[in-house]
Amino acid sequence: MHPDKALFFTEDRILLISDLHLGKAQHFRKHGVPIPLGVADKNFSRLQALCDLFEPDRIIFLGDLFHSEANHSIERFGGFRQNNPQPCQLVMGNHDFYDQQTYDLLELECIPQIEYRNMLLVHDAAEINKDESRHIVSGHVHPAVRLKSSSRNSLRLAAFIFGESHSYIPAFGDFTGMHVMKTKDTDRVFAIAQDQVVAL
Amino acid sequence: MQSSIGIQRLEAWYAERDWKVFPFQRKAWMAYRTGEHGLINAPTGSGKTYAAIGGAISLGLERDLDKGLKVLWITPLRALSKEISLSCSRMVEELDLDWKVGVRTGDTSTKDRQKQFTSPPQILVTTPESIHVILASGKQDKLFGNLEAIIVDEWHDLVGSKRGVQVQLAISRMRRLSPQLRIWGISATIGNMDQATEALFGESYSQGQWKLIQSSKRKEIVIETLMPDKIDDMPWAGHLGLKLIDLLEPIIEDNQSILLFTNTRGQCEIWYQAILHHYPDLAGIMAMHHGSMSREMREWVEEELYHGRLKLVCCTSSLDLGVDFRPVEAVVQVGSPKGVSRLIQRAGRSGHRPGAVSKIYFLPTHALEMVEAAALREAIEQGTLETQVPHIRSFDVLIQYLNTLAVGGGFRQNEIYQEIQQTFCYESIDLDEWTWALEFLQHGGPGLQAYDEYARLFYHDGVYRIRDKRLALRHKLSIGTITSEAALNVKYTNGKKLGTVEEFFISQLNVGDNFWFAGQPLELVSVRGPDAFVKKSRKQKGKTPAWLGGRVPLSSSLAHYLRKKLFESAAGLREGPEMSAITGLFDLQSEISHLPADNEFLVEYIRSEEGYHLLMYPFEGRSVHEGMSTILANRISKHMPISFTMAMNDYGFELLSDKEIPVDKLINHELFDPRGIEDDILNSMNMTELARRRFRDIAKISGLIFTGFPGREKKERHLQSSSELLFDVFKEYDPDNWLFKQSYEELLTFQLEEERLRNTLRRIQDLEIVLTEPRRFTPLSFPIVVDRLREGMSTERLLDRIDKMTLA
Repeated sequence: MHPDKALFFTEDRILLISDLHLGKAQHFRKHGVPIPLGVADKNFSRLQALCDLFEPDRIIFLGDLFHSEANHSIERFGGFRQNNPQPCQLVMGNHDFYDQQTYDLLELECIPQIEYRNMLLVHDAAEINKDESRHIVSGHVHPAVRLKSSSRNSLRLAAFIFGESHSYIPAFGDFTGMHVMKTKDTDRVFAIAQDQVVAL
Repeated sequence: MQSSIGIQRLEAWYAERDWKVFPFQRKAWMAYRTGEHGLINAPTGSGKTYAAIGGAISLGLERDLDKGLKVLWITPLRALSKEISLSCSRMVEELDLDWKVGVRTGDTSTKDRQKQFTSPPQILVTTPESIHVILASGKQDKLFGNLEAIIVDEWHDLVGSKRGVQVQLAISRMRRLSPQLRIWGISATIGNMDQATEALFGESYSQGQWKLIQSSKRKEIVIETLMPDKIDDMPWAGHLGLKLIDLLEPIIEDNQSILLFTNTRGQCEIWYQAILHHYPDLAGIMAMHHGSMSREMREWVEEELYHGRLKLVCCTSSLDLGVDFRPVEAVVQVGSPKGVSRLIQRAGRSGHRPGAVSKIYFLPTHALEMVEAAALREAIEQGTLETQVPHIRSFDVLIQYLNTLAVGGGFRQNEIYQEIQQTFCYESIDLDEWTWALEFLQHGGPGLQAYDEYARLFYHDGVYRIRDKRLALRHKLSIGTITSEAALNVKYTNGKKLGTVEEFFISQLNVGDNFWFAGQPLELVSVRGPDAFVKKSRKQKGKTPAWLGGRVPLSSSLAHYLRKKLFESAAGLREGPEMSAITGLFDLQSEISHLPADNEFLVEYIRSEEGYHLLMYPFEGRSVHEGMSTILANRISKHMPISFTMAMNDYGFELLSDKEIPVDKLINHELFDPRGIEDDILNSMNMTELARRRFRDIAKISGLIFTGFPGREKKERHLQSSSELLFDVFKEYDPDNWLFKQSYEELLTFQLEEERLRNTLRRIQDLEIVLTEPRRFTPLSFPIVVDRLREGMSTERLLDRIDKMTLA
């Protein structure tokens, strides 16, 4: 686990990232909300930093790669692909509705779900059959947890949540919001505290 | 002196009706006739309308008729505009004057509005917003060219708001369009009458070209506190007061018509249900009135009240102003009104017959509120009233105004600059600031210059104009300074509107859930866009909506008398029914802690299973306590890494930590040093957050965010994130932006009341600090400790904080 909201499978050198929502800033801007250009840049520079660090053999995006309609971030992503030519897969999410041509151009293999070891990697766990026996790993919900102290202090932090049958990956993109999840005692929860991943 | 014909006819008209012309009315007429500006200081229902309009009508009776708009009457409430126009029409018609009286508000049809341009009425009753819409029409020069007077009604209500600034701007423009313009105001008494007068007259104030006209009437007010037989039954904390509902019985029996005021809309809903449950006979002759109910429903309630068909109405500040309800015989105030003027205003809703006493029953919601009742009584005896601080340097309203002028045919910058410098609000705007505003409208400033939609004006041939029609339309739809919380319309499935609730309340409900609104159980059917559709429900259960921003802080004037009462009590002087009633509570406070005297400042340090509670009691009202708790938390945390949550009420505040606080070392006068509080305020995270929230209104008013076309309003959550992003953009790229800075200035002046905060710290410097460590919660601390609405602050490392926490 990396505190920049990414999961890296060391054995097969796979980098797993969920919910980038690239271009969300531009989407807002188009609707009259100014967001400085820096925000989008940060997403790309963070992504590049992760690739430099791990040098993955394969990158899996767990859905919601681009936020909405065609914009500038496609080209930026094209640039990213040129620098990082390893195989890249996109598990299709609710925001991923470009035409196949675009994805082909970006050399992105689009698939509804990926089987990896004993796991099933999907974007939204809600769309999976209840009697699925494999362990489900999903994004989509932008998981976070709320922490409380006895003196009523509270914190909300993005988190990795590993359950018995389901696991949730935090959202990578800036400006994407978080959703506080109810956790079970059996869940293993890792919160992201600035530049560290903390086991809870 | 021989009266003129006009005045003689007015007097004859009064005589026909067996009315007497009050001296202040005659004085007002005469001053008007000689072309002076004037301020009529008179309470509602004293004949102020005729005092203000009589002069103009007497002139109309004498002169040849040159048609055109003569008098512009500005009122803060649409509901009042009807009443005013009826009064004026009556005088005009019965005196056979060939004048028309028109009304122009947001409700006026497009057809009628057009007609007002082609054949204008001689008297036009309108609102501050509507005038600005006229200024954006491009036809303002013709309409206002013959204007003789502008009369601003209920100035005491407008002066402290941005609508007051809009009025000042409108006046500054019309003085140019019609140089002989008289400016008249009508105002109830407030604590800073001089300042309010100056705000109305602007530059003419210091030149002395105005008259103050006072009616001699003063009403007697009696406050009776409703107390249970056994005072020990009173809860130590709480804000509902339902425990004392039995005490209403004799009041309901003895009076024909009663108004029951609550401080919040949620409380109003709850009391309505409770009363109906307790006194089922009232079904059908009881109603509710608050600002989130639809206008139709409110108007119906007002109508019924006016005709004496309602026995009891649960209401909020929505009935503070406005139409007189003569049938009302008694007024009940639930919970402290937190201000002297508010209590007087509400008490004045009863006893309308001349010379009658206004009686108000005060129903305390917890034991300590009895002290407030005693304080209110003394404050009224001493004639103390609250001040209404006028806004100054409101750049958001200025930006909106310049945009308005640009839409309405364009403006020349030196002309307008000269005009606004004559207003109270903008007299200190220098040329640099003015140039900034023009630049900002043209290019968006350093933060927004990349985006076309923020370049709104263009400059050509000496005139600033709006860039395109789309921007003009957008602007016309967003004129105004009243901003509301995220609201959803509550509608029956047939489309009939019941009112509004806040988005966050509906978001807690599922389709099929029940909730109460305007006293009716409703079932949520669906939520579509800005509408929540409901149907009537038979179930008598459900949630009651809460509206944000309910709690009013204790006013400075009342706080003064509250402290006086407490100090008297510490000195053993417990006069009056309320103070003698809660003697037991004070004795307990002295026994387990301390009751501060007038030369003491009490600090309590209490340990509980929740942690370490540090409590302080400045008795200055929650807004001051909010700022003060942040400052102290910030100062203490400089000594050690520590996390706090803060809670406050009108008496004091609490810092709660899971770490022991070295009180012996820290609690001294230095901690309360009034110097350097700006840094403490600016350095604290909470302040940025509060300023960011404050910025929402500023962004809306200055047109940086657009709430959407009618029927296609944008989601509040969307707007909220937009304004927050704008705030962050300015913070990073354009920190000198005046709109950005304004959010901090407003926060300091209006929310944290910086001046009062500073004075409080100064006051504490002269007091002896008394630190006690009680073993249990005291009567003073309990209501604060149980408050769950808390702000947090921390200087601990994130990892250390996480260490001490568990998953919620």
